[in-house]
Amino acid sequence: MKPLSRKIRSRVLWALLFVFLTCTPILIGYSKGYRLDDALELIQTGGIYLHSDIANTTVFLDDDFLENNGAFLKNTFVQDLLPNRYYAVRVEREGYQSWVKVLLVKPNLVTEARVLMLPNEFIWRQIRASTTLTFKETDVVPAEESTTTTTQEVVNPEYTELEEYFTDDKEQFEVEVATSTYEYIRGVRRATTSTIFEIEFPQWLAEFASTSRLSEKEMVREREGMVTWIENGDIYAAWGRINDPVPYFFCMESCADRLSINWQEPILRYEFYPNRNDLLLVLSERGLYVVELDNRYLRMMERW
Amino acid sequence: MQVDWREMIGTLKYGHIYHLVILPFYKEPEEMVEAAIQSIAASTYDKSHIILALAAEERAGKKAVSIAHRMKEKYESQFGHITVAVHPEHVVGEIKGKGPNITFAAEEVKKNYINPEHIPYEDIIVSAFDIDTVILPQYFLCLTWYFLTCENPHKTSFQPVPLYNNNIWEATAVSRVAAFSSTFWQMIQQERAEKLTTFSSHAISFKALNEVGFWQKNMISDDSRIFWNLYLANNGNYSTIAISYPVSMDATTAPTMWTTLRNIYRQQFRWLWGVENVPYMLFGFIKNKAIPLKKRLYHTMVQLEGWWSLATHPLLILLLGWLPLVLGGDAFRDTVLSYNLPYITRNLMLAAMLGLVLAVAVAFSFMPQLPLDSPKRKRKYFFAGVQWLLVPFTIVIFGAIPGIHAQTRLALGKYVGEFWVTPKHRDLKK
Repeated sequence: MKPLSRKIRSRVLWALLFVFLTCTPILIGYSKGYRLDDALELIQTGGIYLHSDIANTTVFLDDDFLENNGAFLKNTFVQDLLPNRYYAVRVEREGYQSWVKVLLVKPNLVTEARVLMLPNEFIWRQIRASTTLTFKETDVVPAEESTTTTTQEVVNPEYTELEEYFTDDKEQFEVEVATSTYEYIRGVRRATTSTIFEIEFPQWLAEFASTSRLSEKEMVREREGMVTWIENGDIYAAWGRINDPVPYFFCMESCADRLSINWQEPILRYEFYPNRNDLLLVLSERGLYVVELDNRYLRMMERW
Repeated sequence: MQVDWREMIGTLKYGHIYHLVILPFYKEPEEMVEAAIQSIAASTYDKSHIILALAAEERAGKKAVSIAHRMKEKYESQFGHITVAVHPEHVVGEIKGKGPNITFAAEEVKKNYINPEHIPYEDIIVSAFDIDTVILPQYFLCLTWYFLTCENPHKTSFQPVPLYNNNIWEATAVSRVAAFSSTFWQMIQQERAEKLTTFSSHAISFKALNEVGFWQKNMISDDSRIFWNLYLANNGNYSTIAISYPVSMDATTAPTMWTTLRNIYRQQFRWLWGVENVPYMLFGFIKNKAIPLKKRLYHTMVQLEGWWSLATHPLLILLLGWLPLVLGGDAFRDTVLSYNLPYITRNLMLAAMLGLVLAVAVAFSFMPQLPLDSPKRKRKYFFAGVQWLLVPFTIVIFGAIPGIHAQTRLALGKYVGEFWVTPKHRDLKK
């Protein structure tokens, strides 16, 4: 069998080269978001990416149905969106409060957001600190019977965990420091050791803490690089990992150094929402709130 | 395979053509040596014009030498001549390898049979086989036809397609994929013969070989080096013809999976050590101005691109879809391109998988059929298809990595001084 002739191979080469040279720019352009608009002009579109922890949601874009998400593919990516305009994204699921965000789409960029979906009705559950177990021991002796009852207090580990999380008088960066004071009574030196609390930031946060005077702030909290504090009764958030990229919700037209949440009433206490560093649980006299740090319209602020 | 080479060659005068077949072996079992000889004995070519050289190694011990002598005694009557050449150990200037062994064997045959019998060198075609090479009955007719019909047979090498299917059903999935990958590469090379150099089980005119002193004795990659020896010696007027005819060889197998994987890697490394030909070729091109500049540039580009791409392209294909996301920085991560890249890469890979489907079909056509009463027959066929999902891993682990390994060793001057003989494991009772 003879190999293909050079003539045929050359033709195949030129044909494939033509396909390559034609398809490659189209593929690259498509991947970079270039599309033809209604007037057949080339525009660079943008996209929206929604991170979600909730399964089986329905996503709407400007009130138009976009997609249903399943149990595994919870995130949503939509592209081909006209640039320099706002899109209202709504995520729904039965039994949950709808989440809405109005997001600005920029050419060649993907705008990110993270869905917050809270149930319509919370089921309150009392978590007891401990459980009392009662044991009855019955001794059977011929012609006589006696019963002894003993009780045992069993600590609930779930309560212990939550207690630590919500301990009132402990700040996140407080460390116990033992100090000794000395006094001379009739020429004899006596030492008195006492324990005080000092604020001590970890090494990676030191530079940020120094520039933003964190030690002077109230109720400083940190989770996965996100630092929050109370200042003049309002909540502030900033990105503490100065060498890492700032989270997307700090950047709209341009990236902000800090985000603020104006609060009308005294904040009794606040913490990060479990497993999230973009949500806060805030306790004030009027109730317990879940608040998004992402201040793009509409900022979710739900009260329980 | 549908060509009747007896009919094809019938119009030519070929009775004067001799075939010298060199069978080098080391510590392979007697049954394997005999299987190779039997396949030659079963060929339809005039056996009185087939000269067999059983090239044993002294360093393999007395057993190897006695195997050679037993084979000579048993089959001498069936061939024109059989020479037993026992390559001596510890020869200064030689590596431990196949090159010195087959050269010694060729010189022994020349001294003991060809010269005394006054057989013209230009009438002898030398086939340098491996001991696991098994030929089809019409192989020598096919080879002779190409030899007689090519423009300049003494300035041409002849390369069959090595199929590693002797023991294909005994081999593991990884071994089969690696074996077929090598076969497919050779098939591709056969279609672009201008880039083809010699590989395993090649054939060359005795006259041409004699002019360059046969195969180099200090090189691991003797199979491909002989092409460059002849190319430079003939001032670039030398080429390889693809004869598009198969020879069967063994896929790498071993008693355990780990040993099999290690042996595949070592075999691939030895083949890819062929990169040692690049500096030889470049140096030769600088020294030999008689070779047209266009040819020198062409082969330089082909060789450099070939060696570079085999070591890097599997890794690039594996990583290119994801690497920009890791290295692209914040600015890139937010772009539409960064979100599209994994999808686009995935789709391109899926499109490329169509080629893999074709490869599966071709591979099945090369595999010997399992008997109907073979245990777990359906299961074996199923896994023989599914095994191709291993390709993305095998081209990296047994392609790119040994390629980079060989090229790095060469660049650092850590030369390989001994030819690693691939251990052969085949159920010879079948």
